[in-house]
Amino acid sequence: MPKALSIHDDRLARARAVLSRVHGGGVPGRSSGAGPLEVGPGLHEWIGGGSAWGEGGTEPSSAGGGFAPIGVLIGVARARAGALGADARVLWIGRRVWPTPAALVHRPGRCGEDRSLLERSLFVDAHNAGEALWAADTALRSCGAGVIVADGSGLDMASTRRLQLAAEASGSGGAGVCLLARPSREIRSLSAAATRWLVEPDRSDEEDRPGWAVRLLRRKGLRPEEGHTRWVVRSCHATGDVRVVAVTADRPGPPARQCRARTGS
Amino acid sequence: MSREGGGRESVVDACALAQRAGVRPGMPAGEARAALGSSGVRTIPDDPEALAGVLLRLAVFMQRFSPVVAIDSRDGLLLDITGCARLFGGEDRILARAGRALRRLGLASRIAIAPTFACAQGVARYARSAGIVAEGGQRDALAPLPIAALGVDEQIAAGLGEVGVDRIGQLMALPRSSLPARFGEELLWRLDCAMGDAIETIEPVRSEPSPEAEMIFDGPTTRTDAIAAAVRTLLDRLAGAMRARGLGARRLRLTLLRVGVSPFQIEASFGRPSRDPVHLWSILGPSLERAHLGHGVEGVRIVAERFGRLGHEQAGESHAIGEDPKAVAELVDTLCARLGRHGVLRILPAESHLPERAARLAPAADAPPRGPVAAMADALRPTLLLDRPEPAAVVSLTPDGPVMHVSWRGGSARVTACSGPERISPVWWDAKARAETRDYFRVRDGSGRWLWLCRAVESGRWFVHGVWA
Repeated sequence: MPKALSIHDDRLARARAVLSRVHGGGVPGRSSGAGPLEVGPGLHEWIGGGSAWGEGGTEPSSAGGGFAPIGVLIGVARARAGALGADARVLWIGRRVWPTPAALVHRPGRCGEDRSLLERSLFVDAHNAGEALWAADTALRSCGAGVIVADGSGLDMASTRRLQLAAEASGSGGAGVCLLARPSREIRSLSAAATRWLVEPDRSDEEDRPGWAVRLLRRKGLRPEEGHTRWVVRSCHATGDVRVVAVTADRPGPPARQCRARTGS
Repeated sequence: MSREGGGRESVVDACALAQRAGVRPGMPAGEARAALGSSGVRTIPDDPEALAGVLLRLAVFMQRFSPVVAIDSRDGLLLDITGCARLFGGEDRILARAGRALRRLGLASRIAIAPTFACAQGVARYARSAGIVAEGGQRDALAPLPIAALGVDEQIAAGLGEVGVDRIGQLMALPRSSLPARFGEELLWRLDCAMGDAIETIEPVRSEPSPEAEMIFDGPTTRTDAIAAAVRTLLDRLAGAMRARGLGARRLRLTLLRVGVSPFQIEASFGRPSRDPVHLWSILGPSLERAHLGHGVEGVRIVAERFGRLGHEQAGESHAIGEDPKAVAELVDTLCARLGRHGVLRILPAESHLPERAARLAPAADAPPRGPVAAMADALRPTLLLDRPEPAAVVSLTPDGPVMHVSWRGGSARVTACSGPERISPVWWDAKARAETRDYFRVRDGSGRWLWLCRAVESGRWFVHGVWA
């Protein structure tokens, strides 16, 4: 009996290890209560809300599917890079996800400014989806980048699987984080990402600063009805910070249906 | 420059600016400092070793004018420009260019060109106006100069002074046979060197030879795998040679010696000196696969054309992910090898209040610029700036705001919040900019989206320049 028990324990431990690897360390869940700015290692998808403004654009920044949710991505990249170390490099792959330099500067107090995120950022000019995929894969497999923010337009299931595998087995010992910015028209495409988030402008009229409603659409290993799935993230003009200001308790209906209505597909 | 000795600190050398302020060599350092006051001239301790190092670096720098450059005592350089002047368009041009190059480095200089080294030395150091001495003009150029201009020992010059011979012209008038007995062989030899009657040789500085490795095959081959194996072996050898010298390659040139046709060359650059054979191969390898081998390759040569100091690294030193400078440099090299040098960039803030000029892109493979960083506007800026402002249709209460309704990219929305204007004027000193004065507004529409609108003041047209995406 003791032998059987120990085998059982081993299996349980292995299953726990697999689950924790699949979920990623800090992915928000029922127990952790962590917000969208604290994602763990692995591949994460961020869908910019289907914006009427972005649809008609022809330039790379909009890619015909809304703008990339750069404000939230900056917040996630800053939080993740801060957790990694003082010199961890952040790679921005594809012009669609290149933020303005001012947005990368943090002003913690009245005096002085912290340019560390700007100084540790490298910008990769990928001309097409193939180059962006190769660059993200190469960066994940090396130890040279702590956080990778990439334009994920047009990636199929196999491509996202490749990135997820690269993140798990990277030279960084599986600590690589890849944030893919995907257009709203790809909201229902298949993907191997650990999480998928929808970022839409926050509609509340009280605030005089940009805010975004962030919704967790999908997470591997988590049923939709479990845990919080909606947050409000707001940027602070004075400091340049992006912070979670509200956890919305009410959970909407199935995400897929909502998104279909919103994008009009 | 001052030196301490015998309980007092005295001036050894002084620049032209200090000399104008009354500072002379031999003067007590305290007096010199008082004379300089707040003129901005600093006194530095005399460090002959440091000075020799600087002079050596300057000698290597001056090799752009001639391959033969030698160091002349503690503060001079000798260049053999025989045959080089033609490349620069004449001796006067080379003189002017050398002067300009030194001025750009912040160095004052006196430059002379003469048929002999000794004559050029004397004219540069002692003539009222240094310049070019024509062929055969040594006698006229040297005659009015003091004996010290020949570069002879101080005692010889003093001995000649005692008998009333102060100038080289007077020396030349004396019978040659009487000089060696009284003043030694050196005086006559220096005089002959200056006149061109004796041959003077100089010891040129040699820059470090580039690390290289070469392999010649028994016969030509078109097998890519054999060539690849040879290249990898050479990279191992090159890495070993560079490790022994404490160097790393910044740029490699791989030459495939082909039969009957010109050699095929592949270049690879590295952002940080590297001697890791695996990394060097990861950059060279893909290019080698695309190489045209012709009728066969009979040899391979790899030269580290540019290299830098690379200290010995401790094996197994652990860094957090994304923090290891070596890993970062290797990643940048790998990305640059496929996407090009301008495929991986860093954004540097630029000193401009115009939003489209507030940053410039620089290749990440280059070293980050030194010196003060540009200030950034404290004003609010969107997270995403459009490549060029896009026209928008705007309804506003008055021509200069506030905005009530905006139409852009086929959509239209009622504006629920508007703040501004922030006026940004064009730069008057740049006629090419042709920009108008602009008023910027931050507006929010009914669904919470924020836009950065601008209105061209002269034309009254509206544009969207950025979004808080």
